[in-house]
Amino acid sequence: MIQDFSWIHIIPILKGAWLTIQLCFFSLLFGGVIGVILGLGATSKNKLANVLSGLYIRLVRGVPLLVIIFLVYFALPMLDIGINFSKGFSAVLALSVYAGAYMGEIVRGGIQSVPKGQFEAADALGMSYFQKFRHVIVPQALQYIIPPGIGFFIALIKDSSLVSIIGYIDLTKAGKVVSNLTFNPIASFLVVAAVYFVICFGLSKAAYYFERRFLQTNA
Amino acid sequence: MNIQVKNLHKSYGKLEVLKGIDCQIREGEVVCVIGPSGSGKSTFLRCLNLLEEITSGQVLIGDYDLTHGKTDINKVRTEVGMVFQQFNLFPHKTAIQNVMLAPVIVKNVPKEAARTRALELLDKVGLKDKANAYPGSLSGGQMQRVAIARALAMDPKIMLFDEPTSALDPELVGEVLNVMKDLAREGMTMVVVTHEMGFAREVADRVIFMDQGYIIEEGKPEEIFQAPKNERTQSFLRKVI
Amino acid sequence: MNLVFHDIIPYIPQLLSGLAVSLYVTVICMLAGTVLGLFVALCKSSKNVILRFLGNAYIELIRNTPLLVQLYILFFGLGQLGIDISPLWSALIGITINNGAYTAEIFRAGLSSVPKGLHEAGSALGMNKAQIFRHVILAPAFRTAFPALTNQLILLFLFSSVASIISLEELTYQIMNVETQTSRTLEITLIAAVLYYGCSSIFVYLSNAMAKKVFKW
Repeated sequence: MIQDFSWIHIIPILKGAWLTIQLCFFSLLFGGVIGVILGLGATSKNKLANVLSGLYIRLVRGVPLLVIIFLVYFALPMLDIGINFSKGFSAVLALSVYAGAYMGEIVRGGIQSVPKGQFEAADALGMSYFQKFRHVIVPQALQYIIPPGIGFFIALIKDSSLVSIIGYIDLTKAGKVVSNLTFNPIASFLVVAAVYFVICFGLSKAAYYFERRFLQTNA
Repeated sequence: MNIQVKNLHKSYGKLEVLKGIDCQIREGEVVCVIGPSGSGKSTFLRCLNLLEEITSGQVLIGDYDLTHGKTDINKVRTEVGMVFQQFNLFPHKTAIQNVMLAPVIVKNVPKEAARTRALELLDKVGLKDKANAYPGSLSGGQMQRVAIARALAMDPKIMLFDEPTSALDPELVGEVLNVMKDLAREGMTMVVVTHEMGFAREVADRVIFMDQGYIIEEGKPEEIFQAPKNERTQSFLRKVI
Repeated sequence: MNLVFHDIIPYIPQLLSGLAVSLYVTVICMLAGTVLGLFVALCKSSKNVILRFLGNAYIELIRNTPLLVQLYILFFGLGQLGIDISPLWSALIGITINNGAYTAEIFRAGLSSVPKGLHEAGSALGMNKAQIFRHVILAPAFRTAFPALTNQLILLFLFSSVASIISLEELTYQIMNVETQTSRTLEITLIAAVLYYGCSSIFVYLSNAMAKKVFKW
């Protein structure tokens, strides 16, 4: 049953967009946690932490996201622990694994942008590892982490379109469904592209004003 | 080739940098322009080959009227060489390629002839052995001498020098000034914006003192340096000498 | 945990042909995208308002939408208009257009990094704008852009995998194919990592070698 493309089809597309945003939000959250751990590991004096963090970052960044998504999707059921993982779970897991590596690299860069003298000054004042990071390093590193972090989030929104291939109904998949329903891929995907554009372009403009307003400290 | 400047004004937005410059430079003359930073002396020099757009007034280079819209400015620039404070050598070209480039592409000189001439010029500035060196491997003084050779390769009638030794380590200033002295001796028409008072005193036919966008005083070096009439010239010279 | 690779051995030719397609797409799209990007960067820095607007619009539209959606529009959209286009051509065209927007930004940054003094030196020698661009600006701008271009090449290589979704039989397509045939997920993961990571490393190596050769100054 072929339907003509009409405004009704905007609704599933917008629902897809909402799922895309949720998906990316949680992936960035979990990916951010992984990233902080990796970033600390990569900059720590512990050799093992160093090697492992580096390995994770390089490996994940060296493989296409699509491959990661497929493999997570295929590998999860093989765990065989009696739980049926949803597509949403696979999608968040895959994107978190992916985001973790990129955020790890960003955090590492941020920490290493803080001058060495700051670490030494904190050490010389007898601060503990935690105090040093909490009071000295993190506040300074943030200004090197937030701008590329936002940039990565925007990239992640675009990259997340790839989870549509495991059947998760995100923005892209919603467009595919509408396209199949209406036999009008041009209209469907142009609307999808427009929604991505509004989200990504809007975010990047907002980020630009945010950065100019709040991150002028050392500029 | 004479230079005639009549009532030259130059503004950046509301900021007026040149407030009515009148001067004449005759063929073969060596003129040094001195003055405190911000006096407009570099801007004045850069108006002479239109690196700065002229706001109002008239600049004549020989028969070319720079302020006339129909004048082919690139044609004028082949007759007016310029040497910059920061050398501005092309980093991806060797010394000899820097010197050859413009004659070949702008004046259509055959490559072999351009190469021969370039070697002559590099020899003249004492850098024949550096012909195949890239600017990155040269000292500041060597780079500036290549830059002079590059400008001379176009066989200009006039040479403009924009603080040619200001970016150099003190021990490298001499080698550049020596090349410029040779050039002056050969009768080149030269306009030199400089902080090197010794050079101005020794080489210049005339010294122009500028301040705050005006020519305050001009005259023979001995007049300016030994008996400056204007109070601002006196106070400037007290500070720099 | 033991890894079993012998199931996979019969599929090696498939994987290699997939790799060849991926490399082919990467190289073509990088070359074409570089030319396109340079052209767009010039539009964007031109004094002509329309050219600047078009350059900007192209860059923003492409960079703010997913490659997959761009490929869908091209592949299915052209089909809807009655133009049959193969997955390979869709990929070559779509990825080139995508890549061009990113290289354009890289070149714009490279061009604006060239010191103003070099423009002036060219002008003072009587060169016209085209001569200054060709003989004075291009090489230093290219040198500044080179590391970012290398990075873009690797991203392009990884993201060319998206073309597998429009059934281009490149490396990811073949990897997934082998996974379905053998169910050796972990082994396939390792192979994918080695092939992609290995090729990326080779790209970096080649690009460094090229930089050494080209940028002697």
